[in-house]
This record gives sequence, C-alpha cells and structure tokens, in this order.
Amino acid sequence: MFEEYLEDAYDFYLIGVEYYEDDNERKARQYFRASTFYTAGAIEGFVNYITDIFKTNGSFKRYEIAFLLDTCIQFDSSKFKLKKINEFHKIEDKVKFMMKKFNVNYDFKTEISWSRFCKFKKLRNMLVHPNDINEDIKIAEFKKDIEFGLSSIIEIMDILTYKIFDKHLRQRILDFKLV
Amino acid sequence: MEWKMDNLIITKSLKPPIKILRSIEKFISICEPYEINNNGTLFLYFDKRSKAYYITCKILGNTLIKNVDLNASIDGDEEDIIYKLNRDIYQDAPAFTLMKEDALNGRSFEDLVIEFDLNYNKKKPLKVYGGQHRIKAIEEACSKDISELHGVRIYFNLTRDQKVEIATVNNTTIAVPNDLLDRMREQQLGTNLRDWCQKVELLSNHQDFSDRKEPILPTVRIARTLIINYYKGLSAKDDDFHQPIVSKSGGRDDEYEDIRKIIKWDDKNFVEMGKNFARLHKIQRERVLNRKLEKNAEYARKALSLTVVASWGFASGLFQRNDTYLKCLYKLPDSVNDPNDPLNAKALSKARHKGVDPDRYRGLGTRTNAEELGRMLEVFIIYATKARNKVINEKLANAAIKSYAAKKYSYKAQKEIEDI
Repeated sequence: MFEEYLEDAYDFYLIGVEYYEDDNERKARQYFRASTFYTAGAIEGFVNYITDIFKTNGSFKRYEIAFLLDTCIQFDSSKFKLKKINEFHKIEDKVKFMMKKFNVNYDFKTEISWSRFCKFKKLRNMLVHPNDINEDIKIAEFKKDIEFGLSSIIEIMDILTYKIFDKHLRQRILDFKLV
Repeated sequence: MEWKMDNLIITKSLKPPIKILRSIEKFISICEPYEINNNGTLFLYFDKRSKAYYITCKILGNTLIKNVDLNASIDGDEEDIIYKLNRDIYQDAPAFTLMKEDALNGRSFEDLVIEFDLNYNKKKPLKVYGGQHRIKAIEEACSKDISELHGVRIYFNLTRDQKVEIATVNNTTIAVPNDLLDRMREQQLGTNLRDWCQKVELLSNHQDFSDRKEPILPTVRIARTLIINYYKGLSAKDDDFHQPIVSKSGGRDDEYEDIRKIIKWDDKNFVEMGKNFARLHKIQRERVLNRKLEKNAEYARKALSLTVVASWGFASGLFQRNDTYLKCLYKLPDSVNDPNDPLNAKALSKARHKGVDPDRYRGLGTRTNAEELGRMLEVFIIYATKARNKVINEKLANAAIKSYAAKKYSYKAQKEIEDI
C-alpha cells in the first residue's frame, strides 16, 4: 500500500504544480493537500509493513509490537490479566524506534532528512486539524514543504530498507523524490 | 640432433617456397619434435582452404611452454590489443578445471593450433591460435614437473588474412549443452540416479534424462538438485537458517558426488519423496495444459523450475521428522481442483517484496539466487506448517517473502553478534 500512496502523492503533487503555474491557487492547494495526506499515509504504511514482517519471528518484543501497532498492554487488575488498549503513537516516534531497533547509523539532530520530515509532519497536522490560521500558509511554501517532505520520507524509508534488507527501495520509488 | 631434409616428406604435388622450408628448419632446431628426435619423419601438409602449409608433430610440454605465446595478434604489434586473436582464459569454467586436473594426471592434449613466427616476440615463436586453455593447463602441469608429449599443428609464414581465418576457425565451437555434459558425467558415475528416477516415475522405463531444458523430462541437474536438497533438509535443524541450493552444471558437482556415496537408493522415505515429487510435476502439468484459460507453458513446467525443485526437496527432507507436515506437503497436488494448478504459478508470479523487488521482478520460482530459493522454501514451510487454508495463493506467497526477509535479518544479526 505504501508504494501506491507514494505514487499517488507524487501524481497529486504534479497536478498541483500545473495549477500552481497557471496561478490557480485554489486548485493547487486542493492537490497539494491530497499529496500531503498520501505522503503522510505512505510513511505510516511503510512502518506497518515492516512491523508486519517482523511481528511473528521474535525480533520484536510484545510491547514493541504493541507500540508500533498503536496499542498498549495494560494490566487489568479486575480480571487479573493483561489487556490491549488503543493508544496512538506519533509516527516520528515509531520511525525513531525503528532506526534504533535496526541499529541504523542516523543522527536525528543533524540529518537534514529528519528536520524536513518533522517540518512536513507539522504541515500534515495543520491540515488534519485545521483552523483559520492555517490558511496563511503561502502556496509557494506549501509546494516546497511537500517537495522536502516527500523526498525526506522516501530517503528515510530507503535508509531503513537498506539496513534491514540489504537492498535499496526500487528505482521507481526513488524516482518520486522531488529534491 | 641431426636435421636432414630427408626427415621431412614433401609429396610431389606440393611446391613449398624456400622460406617455408627454412622456417621448418628453424622450428625443428628450437622445438625438437619427438618424431625427429627418434629418427622419425614429418610430413608437410597443405590446407587448400587457407592455402597454408603446416606440419603435425609431438612436442614435450616443457619445450612448448618455453616457446609459446598466448597473445598472438594479426599484425605483430603487441600494443594492438583489439587484434588479439584468442578469447580470454575463463579460469572459473568447470571444463577448464577438469582440463587442469587431467594435465596433472598426465593427459596428452592434441591438435594445438600454432604458427611458428619469428617476426615478433622472437623469444616466443609459437603463436597460439587454438587451444589456449589446454596450453594453460599444460603450463600448470609443467610447473609441477609434469611434462608430457602434446600434439601440435604448426603453420608457417601465414599472411594476415590466413592468420585471421585460421584463428576464427579454431575459436568457433559448437557448444555442448551443460545438461548433456551432466548426463555424460552421470553415466560415468553409474546408473543409480537414472534407475531411481525411473522407479519414482520421473522418467519412464528405459527413458534417459533430457539433454536440455524441456517441459516434461527432467535433466540430470534437476534430479541432482532434488536429491541434494532432500539430504540438506534431512540434516538441517529446525531453527537453522535454511538455504536450499541448486546443483552445479557443466562440470563436477562435488557436493552431489559426496552425497551420492551415502544415498540408500531403496530407502522407503527417499523413494516416497521421489514419487511425490513426480506426482506434483505430473498434476501441475496436466491441470495447466488441460484447462481452457491460462495454458501458459511456464506454468505447466513450474514444478521443474530449479527453484521449486530445490525448495520442495529441502522441505521434504526437513519434514521427515514431522509426519503431519510431510503429509501436508505431499498432499499439495490435491489441494485444489480442476482447473487450478497446485503450485498456483500465477499467484507466485505476482508475489513480490513491496518497495524492494524491482519492476522487472517476475515473481517466485523464476530465478535461482539464494534469496529466491529461500523465499520459495518459505512458501512450502508456511503452507505445510502455518496456513489455515491449505492452498498456495498470492497472500501465502507474499507472507512467505516477508517471513524469509525476517529470518534473513535475524540470521544476519545473529552472525554479527557471534563475530564479536
């Protein structure tokens, strides 16, 4: 699924750019929003895909799987047993966890892809939880944030893929990078 | 050693120029042919096609190596590399390895095609046009003081065009298929493998292995692959990182030949394995060819793809210790009804590792690298041990790919820890 989302994000971005260049800001924003949602969905899908691969082979502990799958294991004192409850965790925390888990040599303080990813995450949050202030995002900045966001997410995915599977993402996906 | 013109027989029809005779004289003095050293005679021959004069004789290995030049070229310009006449030595080719062994065991090689040419690189006047691998093998034997007589054909005073023509003819080979070489090698080892394949009905009575890839009959390589992996599976531990392999082709397969020494060809379980594999192949083929849609030849032959053979064989060996899993594996041909094929070749072709497998990836069971072999084995393992719905489908195939990826990572991580 994450591959299709990346492709969708890229395609919507391109359409948005056409409208942007035609000075049709309304339509440009429409497609840029779509591109943002699919980009955000792609990294979620990727994390879930990796979790799915490793959840049954003993590489992850039970509480680690719970964390990645947005659950939490709690002790139910009334029934005297463990139970799973929903607990949403930030995608950036999941990505950080994976980087650590798979011993990726990645400095969150200095890597430019991480700072761009975090900035993109803020953009995504603003779109998912809209208020009037959000409409002040300039269209040019919106475009740039998507470019950096999509590219940084692909880069992060590629770093993890290479570390885990000894292979890069397939070329077609890498070609979706915009910067 | 005396050189007499009498020792060179020139028939009346031939009228060689004096320069040819002078070249022959120099050749004799430098290379000391066995015939001349033992009061024999040489004949002068004429190749009508090339219009070139030549002799044939025997030379000792040491003498040959001392005078031979493997980098013969058309114009005698050592820097003119595009005109080097010979192909490169393929050090890793199985046939070359066998050649070297033969040379060490005293093999006399024949028909080494050479020109005696003092016009360039005078210290090495024997310019090789055909037989450079044999000469390399001779060279290695000579380095271990094994110097045998070898048959040479020596040309003299060739023109540029003659050099090209002779070099071309001597570097043109009609390639013997590796599967045929395997069959010949297997015949040398004995009839057990063929007899066993006939017994389990992979071959019909009095039928031999195929000498090339084909839809019905297995090659020797396929049969060996099945057996090697059965034994590998048999000796593997449950928590090992399992890696099937494919038998070598075109030369010796030491791993197979070692296993062959310990095979009990009449062993009940071993025979049962063979029969079940033959049945899988038969039903796979029948289902695909008898249906109206998707009668794909590759789908029909899927059971004979080396990846499937290797991984199925491995699984069968692995499951010998668990009757439930083994029965499940053997019942694969019955897992689906007409017109569906038990291996679900179409589903296997669609499976892929998301994000990683390239666009041109053709699905499970098409390649024979370690990753594909491991993935295909995982299909059979998940099918037999975990799948609730005992059918190979795209979901199971994708799950197998993921499962293999996880196992491979864990194995890699474990190895890194062990190396600390």
